[in-house]
Amino acid sequence: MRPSHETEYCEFVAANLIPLRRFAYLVCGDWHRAEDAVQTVLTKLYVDWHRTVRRDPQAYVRRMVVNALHDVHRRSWFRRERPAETLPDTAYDRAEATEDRLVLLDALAKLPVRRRATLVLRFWEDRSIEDTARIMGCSETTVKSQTARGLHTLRDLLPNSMTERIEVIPT
Amino acid sequence: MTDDIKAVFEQTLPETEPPPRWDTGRYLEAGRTRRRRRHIAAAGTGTFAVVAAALAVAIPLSVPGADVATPGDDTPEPSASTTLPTQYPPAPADWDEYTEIVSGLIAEQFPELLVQDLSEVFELAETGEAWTDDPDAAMEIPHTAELWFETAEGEPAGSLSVRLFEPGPWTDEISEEWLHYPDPFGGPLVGCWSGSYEVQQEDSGVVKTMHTETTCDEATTSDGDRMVTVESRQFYEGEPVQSIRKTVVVYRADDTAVMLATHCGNDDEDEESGRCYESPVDVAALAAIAQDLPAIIVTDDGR
Repeated sequence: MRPSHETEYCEFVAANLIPLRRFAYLVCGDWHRAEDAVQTVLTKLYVDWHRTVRRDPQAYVRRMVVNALHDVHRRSWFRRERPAETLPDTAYDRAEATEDRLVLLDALAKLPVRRRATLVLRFWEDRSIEDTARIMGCSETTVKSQTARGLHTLRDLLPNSMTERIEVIPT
Repeated sequence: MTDDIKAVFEQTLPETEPPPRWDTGRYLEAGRTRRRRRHIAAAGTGTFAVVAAALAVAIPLSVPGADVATPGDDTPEPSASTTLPTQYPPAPADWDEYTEIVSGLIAEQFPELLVQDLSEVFELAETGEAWTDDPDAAMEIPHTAELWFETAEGEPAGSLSVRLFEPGPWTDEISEEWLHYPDPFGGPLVGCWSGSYEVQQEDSGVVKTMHTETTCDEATTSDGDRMVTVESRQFYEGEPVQSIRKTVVVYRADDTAVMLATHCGNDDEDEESGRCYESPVDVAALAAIAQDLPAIIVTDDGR
């Protein structure tokens, strides 16, 4: 890689590492898996930087992260190792806010990765339907249906006090 | 409403996040390492590495031929600076200029493969430096360039590598063994091995039989140089072709050699890692480029 490309790459990593990790966490709900996915993606990105830089790197890496997380979900070892019934014991505060958080995480974990990613892109990152479709590599119609189904699932899983926020489907 | 849903997501984030395990420098280091490994895979032979990756790290039970050459292998001292005869097109003064010439030759042969960005995509690298991060190692490894083709629609269309071999202890023989990497420090640069070997998948223990079918041919260029063409396909028994590689080597009268090879894109930008994107490039087009490549650049500093 040319020195100028390496400089660009380093600047990109420095500026995007934290937001990208956060995005991955919201899609998978696990810091370790989020970190693994981001490590995989950013390392691959170095090799393909000369191509990526001509595209929209921000959108491109998000698609890679979703694909990486999606790929992990399909692997058998993940299915074997994933805690199925209860969340692991943690040092979380059991205050009400944290209880809400655990409920939310549990509900989001029941969404398929790509549907969850669609919700994160649309509502956490405030991306348009067109942007989201481009990142996810699908049609705008698919984004709309994924959004509607994702919100519908969340409404079914969350208690009433929390679903009030997502009563209306903004697609 | 969007803000409300955003607040739902915000609730899922903990107040304190664990710090990233890697900093920017570590990512740079990991990227360089991955690139080095990809160079090995792209070198031919390394099709096995690509297939292994697709198999979630497969273990070869028995692989014919020599081990993968590594920078740590016994390597002779770099040869002294060499003055080349003027039989071939004159060499430009620097790699950027050389890259432009090679890009132009490729664009002539493959105008349909996103040639408008070719000069930006084509990156002439010195593999020795890429392997070791040591500029002094540049002369120890053949000069290498890699190009990934894309169609106008942005679909992967295989890749092309250019390798330039300085005068050295390598030979123009064709190996009958499986070559993991063309070794400029001795031995042949290409192999014409066909056969089978077994590969065990690490996590499942499943053993598969990998078949390699290779055909080789020889011709003489308009300059009177010997030219060898190699086409090789690899596949697991009962499964589609995993890897396709086409190689042209021209052995020149000045004891240098040029190698052009296309191989599956093994485009690992997404979950399709390991997929074989067959290049539409044929050996005749490769040969046309190889014959017109300018002489390699050999100076005291390896350039």
